[in-house]
Amino acid sequence: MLTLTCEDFLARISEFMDGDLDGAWRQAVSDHARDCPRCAVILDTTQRTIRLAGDAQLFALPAEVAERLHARLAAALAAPAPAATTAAPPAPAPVEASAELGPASLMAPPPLPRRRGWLEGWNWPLAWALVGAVLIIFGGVSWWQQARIRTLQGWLIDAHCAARYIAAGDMPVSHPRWCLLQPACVASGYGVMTAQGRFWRFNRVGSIRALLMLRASNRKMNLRITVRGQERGPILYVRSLRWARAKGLISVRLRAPAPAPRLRQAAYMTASAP
Amino acid sequence: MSRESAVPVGAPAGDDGDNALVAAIRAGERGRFQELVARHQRAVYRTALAILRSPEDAEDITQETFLRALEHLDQFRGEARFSTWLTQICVNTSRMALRKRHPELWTSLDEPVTTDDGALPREAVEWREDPEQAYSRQEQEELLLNALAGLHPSYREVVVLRDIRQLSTEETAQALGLTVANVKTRLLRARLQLRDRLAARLHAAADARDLASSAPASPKDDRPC
Repeated sequence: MLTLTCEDFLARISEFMDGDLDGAWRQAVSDHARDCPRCAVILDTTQRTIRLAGDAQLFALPAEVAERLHARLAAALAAPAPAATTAAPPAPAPVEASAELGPASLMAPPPLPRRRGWLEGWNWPLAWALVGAVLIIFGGVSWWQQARIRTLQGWLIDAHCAARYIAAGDMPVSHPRWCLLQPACVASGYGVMTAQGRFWRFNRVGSIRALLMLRASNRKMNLRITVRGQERGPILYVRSLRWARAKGLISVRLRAPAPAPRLRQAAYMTASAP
Repeated sequence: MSRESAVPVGAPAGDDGDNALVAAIRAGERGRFQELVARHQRAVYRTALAILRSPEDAEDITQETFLRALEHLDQFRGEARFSTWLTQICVNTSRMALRKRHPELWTSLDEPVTTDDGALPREAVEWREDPEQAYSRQEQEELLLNALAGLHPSYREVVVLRDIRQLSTEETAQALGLTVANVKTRLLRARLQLRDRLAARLHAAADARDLASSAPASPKDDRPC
């Protein structure tokens, strides 16, 4: 005679309820349920669960849902036969549908929908094309920007006074530093005037760098500079700025403006006007 | 190929006239598809509702299932019962909808199911009241749907087809593309889990009801302790 543990009993409870157990096992399960109150409760409540689930009264199809279903199908049926396939708006893509319902797979195990890995759904050719396009655009933009970078030599001068020199066809060789530090000149911004008589105005940051460089310097005139920057229309976006004869770049950020030139600047200001 | 040779061993004995209807529809009487629908609409709706839990989703799935059945009716070769074929479409459509609309309820069927093998069910307490008597039909549906929603989708499908739809184990296996042994294993776990979840809800509901009935009848009696 078979004697079951509670685990053995639970492992067979489902088949027992379905009547799938043969004689000896069936008897053993019944015997265990009789002797073990805990398992008897589990058997009873599981049977009641299944009875509840199988209650034909539950999950009834509401009449209005049935009406809508028939109306929708009537519309699909009214369409000509080939159009019926296209008349089903929520129907999934035909490829997917035929893969599931195709003759070859009919009644074969339905394909289990799987959660796809994050790389699985990628359209690789498109992804590579996009990467290529981004690289080409990036390369093109940086080449174009590089092509607009120019190095210029000339005189540092403010935009306010540059107009006068250009009008006179003169070079600002003797244009004094003190003039460049006048409020109106500072406010107008700086630029470089080349020997060809063309004035390149600096961008705002470039002008500030030029002002700092001027303040830190004790040159009085012939303020020749070498400037490297990017040309954007009439504005030169300054990348490096140094005095033409100085060795190497002047690090205008690191050098604090000296107080002495300011005193002299005040003396100049009273001496004459630009 | 003769009709007999197309029917494998163990395939449907009684199709209740479904195959004749399908043949008529294929022969051109497309209007009779509605008859076929009327026969199976309830079963399809029941399946979709039990899997998806929401009546709106179940309605969509029911419509979609029949539209797809109509579209692919040529591919039904009578190797299984029409109802099984329809169930297969319904389950696949529901799975897709579940994955799309309720990813939180969706767990990959590829993932190994964590089971409580060997562990006894948590509660072995007699139910104080029979849900069939104590609750309205709507409440029973709600209890059952909530309990079902907590099951792993692969368990839910098995218990829905086997116990709610009351298909045979073989038909359930056919509709889900599983072996009979696999269905039995899943069914055992599904039933025990469903029982656990239902028991927990029933006890909670009964406790709430007790509390409500033991509460003071009028606010005047409700003195602070």
